[in-house]
Amino acid sequence: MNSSWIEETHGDALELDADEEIFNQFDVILTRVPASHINEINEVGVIFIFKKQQSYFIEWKPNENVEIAGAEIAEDAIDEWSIINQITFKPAADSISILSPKLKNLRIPLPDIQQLKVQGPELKLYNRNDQHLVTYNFKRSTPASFIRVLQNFRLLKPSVHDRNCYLIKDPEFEKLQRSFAELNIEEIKTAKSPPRPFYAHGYELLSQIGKNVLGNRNDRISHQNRPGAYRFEMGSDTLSSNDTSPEMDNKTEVVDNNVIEERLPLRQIKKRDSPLSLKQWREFKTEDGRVSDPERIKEIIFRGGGEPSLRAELWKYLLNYDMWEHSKIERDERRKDLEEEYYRMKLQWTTMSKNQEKNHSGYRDRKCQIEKDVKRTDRNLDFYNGDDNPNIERLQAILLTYVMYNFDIGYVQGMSDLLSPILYLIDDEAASFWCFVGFMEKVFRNFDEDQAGMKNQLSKLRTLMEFANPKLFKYLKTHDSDNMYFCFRWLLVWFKREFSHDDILKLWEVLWTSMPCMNFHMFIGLAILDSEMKTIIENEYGFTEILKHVNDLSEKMNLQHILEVAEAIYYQVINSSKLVDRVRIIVGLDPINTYGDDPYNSDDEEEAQIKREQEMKLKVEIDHSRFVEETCDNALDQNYF
Amino acid sequence: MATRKKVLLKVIILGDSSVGKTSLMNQYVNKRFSNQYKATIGADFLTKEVVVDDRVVTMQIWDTAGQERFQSLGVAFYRGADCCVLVFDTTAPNTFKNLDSWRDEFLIQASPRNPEHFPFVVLGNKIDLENRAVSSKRAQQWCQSKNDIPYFETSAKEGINVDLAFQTIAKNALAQETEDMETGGFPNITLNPEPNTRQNQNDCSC
Repeated sequence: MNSSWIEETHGDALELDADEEIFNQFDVILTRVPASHINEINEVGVIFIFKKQQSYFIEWKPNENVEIAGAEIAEDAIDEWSIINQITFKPAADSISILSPKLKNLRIPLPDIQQLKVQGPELKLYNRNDQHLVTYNFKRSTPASFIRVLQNFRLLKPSVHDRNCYLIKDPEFEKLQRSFAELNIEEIKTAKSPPRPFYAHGYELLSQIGKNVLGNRNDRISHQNRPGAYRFEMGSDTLSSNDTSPEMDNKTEVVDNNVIEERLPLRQIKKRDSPLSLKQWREFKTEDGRVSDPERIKEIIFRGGGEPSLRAELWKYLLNYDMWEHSKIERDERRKDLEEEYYRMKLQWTTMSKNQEKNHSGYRDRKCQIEKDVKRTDRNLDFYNGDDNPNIERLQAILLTYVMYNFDIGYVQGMSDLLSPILYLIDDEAASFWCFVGFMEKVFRNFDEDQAGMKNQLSKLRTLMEFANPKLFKYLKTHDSDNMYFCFRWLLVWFKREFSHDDILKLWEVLWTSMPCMNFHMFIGLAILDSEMKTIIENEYGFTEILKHVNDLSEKMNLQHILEVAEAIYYQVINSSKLVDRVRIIVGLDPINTYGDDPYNSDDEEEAQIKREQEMKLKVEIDHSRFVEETCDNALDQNYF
Repeated sequence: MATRKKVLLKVIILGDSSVGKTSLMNQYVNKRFSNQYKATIGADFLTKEVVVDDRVVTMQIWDTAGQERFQSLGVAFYRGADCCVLVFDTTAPNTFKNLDSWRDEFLIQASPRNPEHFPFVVLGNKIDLENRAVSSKRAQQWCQSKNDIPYFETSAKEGINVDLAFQTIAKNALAQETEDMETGGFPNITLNPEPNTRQNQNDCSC
């Protein structure tokens, strides 16, 4: 019965790439929307059902888009994520208001919907987590014909419990059933009960792949090849053995894991190395005080950190205060110059008069925020504890001098968190300042006025997650959580609030090596989410619960383990034979454009597109004003005025 | 009836940096005050079960970062709010002046169904400190001008008026939530604009 439905409706569609509209109705108002479409609330539009590449979608388009676009589907409107680049704190200023925000289409893949409820003129959609996503109000009619069409196409069935309620069939599930049927795997064909034998088969396959991969891997990273140092971990993306959950989920899990098998090599956990020792460090120092092989030093720090007694010295190199290639004499000279420069800049604000300050709101605001924040930065540490602690003053002085050094960034909340461990360890005001400058060079985009840098980071993390952990990605997506906002704090201050003070010292020096890639901090995020995946999915957490859970992990995680998992995921990703360009770019590899079917634009492309559009609009405006000018000139010439 | 279901009240605390948002939340939920709170990054929340009009409800109190630029992510957190608490520091006039933009920004981002009647509560915090700079009268006047927002003067440090304020917050949030449920849990669409017209006219004349 089910498989015949697939045959019938997909029969001639297999070759069809174009959209096939199967329903539309005018005058439909959106009365409930996901957060991404808050602008569209109460807007009138047209509702469509269409088929594209064998999938069905419900799409609502505002009237303005329908007139312009005709039957065409605006590709840029599909991605809910695109909204993140459009949120700004302030409403658009007058000058920009010409580019008034265009209303977006709201497209929902049918399989994402679990049920539809009809109440009078209203049609309510619920996702598979039973969250009420959208309400359409059929202003001049009822949803009856909409429902009838879906029924005719056998895409939904009436609920036995509620006659106003309809359940969506999951074509993916049914397709899967059909393909298993073709493969003659008996267990799946009839499966209401969990398909255990198939899982066993899956494990075999998985371990086979693992063996192949291991062979390659040991050859490839030979200097890291220590026999016995690898531990194999069936990451949390592997199959769970308690197969008693309801039938639907088990099937999708099979699909997901097939995808993972194809896409990612088996995860190999490599134990962390021991930290760089004083003895090793000395071996790298030349007679005149240069460091002979900085890349190797960074590698050692990446794999094991540095000994605590060495830390202050190493940090000065990692944060570009000292230069690896400098002799001791050159180093002392540079330090002296930088120290003078620091105190020169410091003088700029220490000598500011009351009146100057009164007339300089930009400085005043920044100073005020700094004063508020240093008082509540790491006060639990002895180093910053107690009333009138001079180290609090030093924090403040460095941050105020940074305002003078880079007034555009100025001071943003989170920066005091980044400075505090540096001052704690370096314990010298000028040197700490320059080390802080070095850190800020790596993360200044996090503090953009319009949050573009953070949005970009969240978007990259999302892209990585989609590739490296499709199962969790799919879960987050269907639970309104793939905006990754719950990782905001992690990325803004590089996990400062998530680990203890001691662990932060260890983590940051690893990240400052920029090894094995610039965005390795995102793999820390992936590793944390990977280890929480089971909890998140089993407890069916939604956005709120995930945020709470993630916040509550603070100082409860094992850093060494997270680092090991992060590194392992990194190698899984870059050793994947299916590595797509948008991921290659994030991990610092050149795009090769092999997978031209890559359906997503990278952020940079997206940004470029936005920029192009803005330029176009600007050009139109300029042309227009030129036209007006010319017309006036002509009019003047001809004495019309 | 639907309103007998277990009720979750979502409350958002907003206000300038360092006015005491985290402290108020912690004082109310955990009866604790600490000098060592850090500046909030991103957002977090605490929950507390309370009894309002003989009903047990769960309050989910959201604490957010105070620096303006971080509000652009607010929409993810404000969604579904039942009450918004605006906090200022009674010793810092600027934090009071900014209440207007906090209120406006909330209404823009959260897009509540009925902005004119969305429940706000204003808290003037830190009244334990000597150097008071915003008078009660001034604060009350502002609240009256905004559709009679309830106003409380609190000290998160000493626990003054915190319970009282949150009881009102819970009560008003519950009223909002109940109203939502009765209207079917979605915004009143503009098919029939009459009911709001008079309200709007009043506003325009201000």
